Amino acid sequence: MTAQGGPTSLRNLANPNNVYKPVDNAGDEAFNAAFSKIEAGADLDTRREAFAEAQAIAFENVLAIPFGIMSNAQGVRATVEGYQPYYNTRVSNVWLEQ
Amino acid sequence: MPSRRFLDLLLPGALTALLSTTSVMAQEAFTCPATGGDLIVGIESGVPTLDQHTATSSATRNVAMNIFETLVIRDENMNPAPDLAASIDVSEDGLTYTFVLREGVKFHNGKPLTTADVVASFDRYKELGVNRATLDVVASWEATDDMTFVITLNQAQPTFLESLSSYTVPIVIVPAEEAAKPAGQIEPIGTGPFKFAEFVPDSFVRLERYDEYVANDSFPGLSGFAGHKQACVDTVTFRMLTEPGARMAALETGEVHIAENVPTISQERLAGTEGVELVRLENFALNVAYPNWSAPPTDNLQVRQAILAALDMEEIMEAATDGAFELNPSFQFPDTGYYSTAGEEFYNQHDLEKAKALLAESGYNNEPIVLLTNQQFPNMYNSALVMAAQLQAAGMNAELRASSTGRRLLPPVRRKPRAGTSSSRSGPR
Repeated sequence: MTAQGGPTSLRNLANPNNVYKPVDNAGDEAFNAAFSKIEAGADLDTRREAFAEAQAIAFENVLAIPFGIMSNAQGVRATVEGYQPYYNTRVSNVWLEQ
Repeated sequence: MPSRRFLDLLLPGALTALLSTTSVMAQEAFTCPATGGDLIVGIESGVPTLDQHTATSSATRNVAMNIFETLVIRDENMNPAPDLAASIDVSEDGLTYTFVLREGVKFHNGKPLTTADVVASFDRYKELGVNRATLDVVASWEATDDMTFVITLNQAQPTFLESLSSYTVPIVIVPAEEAAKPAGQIEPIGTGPFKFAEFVPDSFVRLERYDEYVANDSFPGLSGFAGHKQACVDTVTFRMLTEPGARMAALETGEVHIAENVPTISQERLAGTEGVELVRLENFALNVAYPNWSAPPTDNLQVRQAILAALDMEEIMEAATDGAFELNPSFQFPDTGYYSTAGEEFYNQHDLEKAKALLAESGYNNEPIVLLTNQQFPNMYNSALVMAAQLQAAGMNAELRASSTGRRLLPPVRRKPRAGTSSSRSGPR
């Protein structure tokens, strides 16, 4: 998964899309409360604080197990111009050397 | 109603992004220095479908997001950025979001884009889109005219645009007549710079330049998923070369122009190959496993904590990436706005004695712990393989079960409970 920001990166652990499949889809109450604070926080500091709280719960109660960050290398022929690696294979604004 | 235009999106740098977007409008927009040819991309996974609303596969997105566009998507700095929207206004109370569409946009079938298509696309996504929970906060949406689409929330959610712009499984806009079709049965008709041409399952997908594409003039060039896009080549062929050796050989011989995911073991050789350049994205993905709480023994907190205590993340990541990794006790990348190391004491413990003690307290009785993975993404398979060995060393009855496909194994739909964990990389969040 790619870290797209606080709420986006933890949404799949919050109700109703909790991928760890809690019984009756109830979810981790403390985590859900912290996640709600991320979404509802009026300013960024509040949301950052809530994110840290939610992440700590995710670790302690093992909602998910992050192993680490992977880098990615792509090979490009020299005849290709304009190509830049990204989280998607973007083929716009890419041209072939004539 | 008082409003703010595409405003405090509450992501770090959002204001900067707004200002820079304004300033770049005076810059010269990108134009293709050359046109023509068939750009051939060797992709690492099969493409299961081009129905972007319903697919979690990164292979689907890699192709489909050159065909489809969204109202709002992420820019190069991960901030929300208008795509099919010309403007986004948010009411002062944070409940009403008004999107005005860009003028002149047409679908690949020649039909002009209107808000009827946007409404239909949102209706479809709400019904069967993978991340439809994004829309749970929405009370209603409506087209107030052909070009104006209004979303009203149940309650203010300052992060709504951040959620709406997620590219995990984006809410792409399809023609209204396609939106009525069931999952997996739509024609891939979008508004993007490339249109669908041909799809041979397990072999290739071919796209063609859409000559009537209307680029977003708010940007001078590409910016993340957004920006001023242009199709320079006549066609793009995404060849499914799932075996890394074959993919690298195709790159070296010039059969493909671009090869996804160069294995670490091949990088040194390719770096010395004339006519080939390696390009790298450092923070590409987080490698994550998800436990299953709904069935024993992983419904037991102490068993899950024992699993976490037993793991040596360095060994797992080394096997997953051949060294192309960074340890990271977070669900965010370093140097991003929400980055935190809270809970890091539970990360990379590799404490077998602690794991065994937790198991003893839990009442664990050697029940199987099944690790679900797939064989199409080596990083997932190798992570699970090493994880199984580490759990066995801690006294757990770990079993590996690998599917042949690269789909994310636990989509957010309910399935029959199965104990264990699953590994994921290709479902960005």
